[in-house]
Amino acid sequence: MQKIALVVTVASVLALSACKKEPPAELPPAPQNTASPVSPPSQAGPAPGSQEHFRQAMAGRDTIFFDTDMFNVDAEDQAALREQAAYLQQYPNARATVEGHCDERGTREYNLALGERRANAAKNYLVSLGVAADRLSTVSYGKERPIAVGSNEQAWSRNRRAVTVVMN
Amino acid sequence: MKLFSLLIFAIVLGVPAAAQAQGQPAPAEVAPPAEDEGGLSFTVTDDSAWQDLGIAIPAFATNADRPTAANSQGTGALGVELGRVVFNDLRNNGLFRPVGPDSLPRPNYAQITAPAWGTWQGRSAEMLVHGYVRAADDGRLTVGCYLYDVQLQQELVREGWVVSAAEWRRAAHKCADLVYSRLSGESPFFDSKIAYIAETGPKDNRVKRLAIMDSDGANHRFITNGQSTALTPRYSPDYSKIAYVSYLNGYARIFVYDIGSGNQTLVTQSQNTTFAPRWSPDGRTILYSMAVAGNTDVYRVSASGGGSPQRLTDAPGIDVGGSYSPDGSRIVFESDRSGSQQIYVMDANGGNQRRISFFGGRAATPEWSPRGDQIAFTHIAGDLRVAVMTPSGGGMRHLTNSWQDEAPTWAPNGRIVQFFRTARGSGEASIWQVDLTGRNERRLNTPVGASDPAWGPVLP
Amino acid sequence: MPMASLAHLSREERLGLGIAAAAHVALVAALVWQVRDDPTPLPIPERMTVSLADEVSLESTAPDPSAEPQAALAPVLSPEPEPVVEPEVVREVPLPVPRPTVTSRPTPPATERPTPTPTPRATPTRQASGTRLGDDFLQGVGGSERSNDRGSPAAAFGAAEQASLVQAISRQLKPHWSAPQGVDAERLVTVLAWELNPDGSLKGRPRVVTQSGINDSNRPQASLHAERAIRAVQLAAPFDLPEGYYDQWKSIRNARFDRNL
Repeated sequence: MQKIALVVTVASVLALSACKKEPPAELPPAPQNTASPVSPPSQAGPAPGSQEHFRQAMAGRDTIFFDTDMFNVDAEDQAALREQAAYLQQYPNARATVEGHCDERGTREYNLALGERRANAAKNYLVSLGVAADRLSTVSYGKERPIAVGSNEQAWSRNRRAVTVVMN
Repeated sequence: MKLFSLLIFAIVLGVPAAAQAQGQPAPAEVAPPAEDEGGLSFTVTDDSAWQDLGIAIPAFATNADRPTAANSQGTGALGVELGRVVFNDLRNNGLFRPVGPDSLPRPNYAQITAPAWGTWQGRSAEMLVHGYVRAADDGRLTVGCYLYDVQLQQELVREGWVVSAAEWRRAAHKCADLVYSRLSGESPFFDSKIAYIAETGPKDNRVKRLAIMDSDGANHRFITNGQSTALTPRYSPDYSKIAYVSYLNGYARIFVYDIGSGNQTLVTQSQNTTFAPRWSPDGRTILYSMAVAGNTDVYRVSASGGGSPQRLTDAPGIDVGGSYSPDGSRIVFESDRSGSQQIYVMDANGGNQRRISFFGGRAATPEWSPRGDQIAFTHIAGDLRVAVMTPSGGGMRHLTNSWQDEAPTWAPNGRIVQFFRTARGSGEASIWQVDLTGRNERRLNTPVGASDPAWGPVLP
Repeated sequence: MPMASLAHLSREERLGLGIAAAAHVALVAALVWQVRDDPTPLPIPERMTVSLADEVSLESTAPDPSAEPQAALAPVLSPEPEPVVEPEVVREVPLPVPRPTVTSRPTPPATERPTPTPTPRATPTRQASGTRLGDDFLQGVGGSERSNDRGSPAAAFGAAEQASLVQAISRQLKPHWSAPQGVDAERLVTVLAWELNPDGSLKGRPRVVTQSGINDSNRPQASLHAERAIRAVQLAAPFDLPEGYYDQWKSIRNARFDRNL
């Protein structure tokens, strides 16, 4: 008798409680993490020290990403920048521009300033790794040049970036 | 314990007494008449929803149908076009319910100064616009504009202008301005121009061109060809130049484009990212923002060139802007020195910088109204919305409520705010206008997508 | 403290207590959830103008009963009923003219004679009704036998009359009064004064007594506000007001024009 009462009570409690769990917030995907060593240039490939060669060599690590409104270089960014610095040391004649970008979720002019901040942060880290400062310049594109066209956190996290571009 | 209960007792007694005192109605502003005056006193309250004012705008008459450069079919057809321009100006404005020349009988030349009241009294229009156009031998046009009260059968105001044939639309805008300011009490703004950025192409490869047009969208013209991105234009107060940002050299630099000659000059030779150009009300100074090693500050430089820039802010952080007060004595700008974008006011020489936005969220892109009584800005709290506040930071009101509205600028009369709206997903941009009361939000017709609108002053 | 008191409960009792507590919490949560929903808004009732006379007049304003009302006279019956005339309504069968000698029943009194037409008529026409009431049957109602004094509508002009007069003027002004728009324009108040002729038309032009509520934002609309108020008066004229009270409404001293949603 007690057991039946218990079962009935528990069942009614469960029926009454209609809790809905919040879905976990989406986390932005981690940036590319493939560690690829700098491959020796092949005859038919792009010229060494060129942007195309740099991009292939970096395989995604020519770009570092930022959180909303932030411009700090975190551990992942540092790893990518170390590879960039290594490449630039390997080709001492190459000059590079660091582009700073923002997501669309901000005002246009402030984003131009924020983009410059991000580019500057990346450049400073490269300089601290030994790249000569006069080989690096910065440019800000604000929110004008997105690479991901969605209007969601996934796209925005991909657009908040600093890209190093070797000048041919 | 006794004290406690005494306190409770006192509060219980005091609260209804306070409520009673508050419940007394405020004394009427009008004193009731003395007993011996004998006249009646009462109140008439308008409690209806806003009614737009009905206004009839028939075609303009002409004394003689002559050929004119303004219209291939002569001054008669030009009169109809003039009526249409006035009609469209007043229709988009939200205060009026106009009826245009295509739905109304056409008055003859003699009736312009002596309206046939019988024709107009049966309709729902309370006001009547009559106008005429005359072509002179040298090709210039004389346009007259009259405003009548149909129910009282009275003339309210009249004015006339002489314009070249190419500028016939300006005469119609002047007539619309006359009617608008007489019937609303506000300053005119129709006879003005708008500079903006025309956008085409996909979201990740937008082509952005500098363009100008009349306030009603006519006389549209592209200034740049789109090979390099153009941003954030601003008309000089005398309409002779446009300052804007271009990536012509691969990075953001400010150019001043001389509309008459077509020449472009750089505001500063610096290699740093420079952006956010702004004119002073007298047109002699240009403000701009320059980013150096991650720190952005506001600078000012002489608009005629040759002077050295003077730095106005030096706080660590991003200072962007700003916008001059109409008397040129103060500048409002945005800064994130407090940790997030907020709005600050300083003297025109950079002194006395103080924050004025304290209402939560972030505040950006401040613009001082030409009337000086309001500052429009973008309020960021989740969505980006256009808002206004007084120059002391109080009375904050939102004017729009959409996903992303930003960069408000003012119409020359300080009563209409123009901004651009970005659509979620597609990123399509369009220019919108809204009254300072928050009413009558409407889209501006542009040939392609549009952003960064800036309004020039009323042409003299 | 609470834990100690639970110690001597059996295991089942503790379990039941816990489940009961949880069920109570869930019930409260469900109720709170329901209350959060917006209740259906009540339909907004139509606006009704109410004017209150909040003064008690010291003089009686009720109609005075006449001191010597005329004695009510019973209607004089004519010996013969008037001939029936065909009424406008078409009837198939004309009703027979009542003849006093037809039936053995006593002649019914004139007032009880039914009107011959079956359809009701708004105003009985005496000719066709066949009644025996004369044209003078209303003679003597009210009034005195010795005088034709029928009593006055009101003894004096008091608060109630003033309220209804004010309401009449407001009602005629309201359709023509629309305040101008603008920032803070709803704060503007204009007070006008004007004179009226006996026929209700305007004597001269309304003049502005005072304006209030002007601040920097709505200053451009202040003169427009006054102009619109004057226009409302000019359009409402001529006013339709009772002539008997001309002395009371010939001069309007403080007509306050404002806006309130």
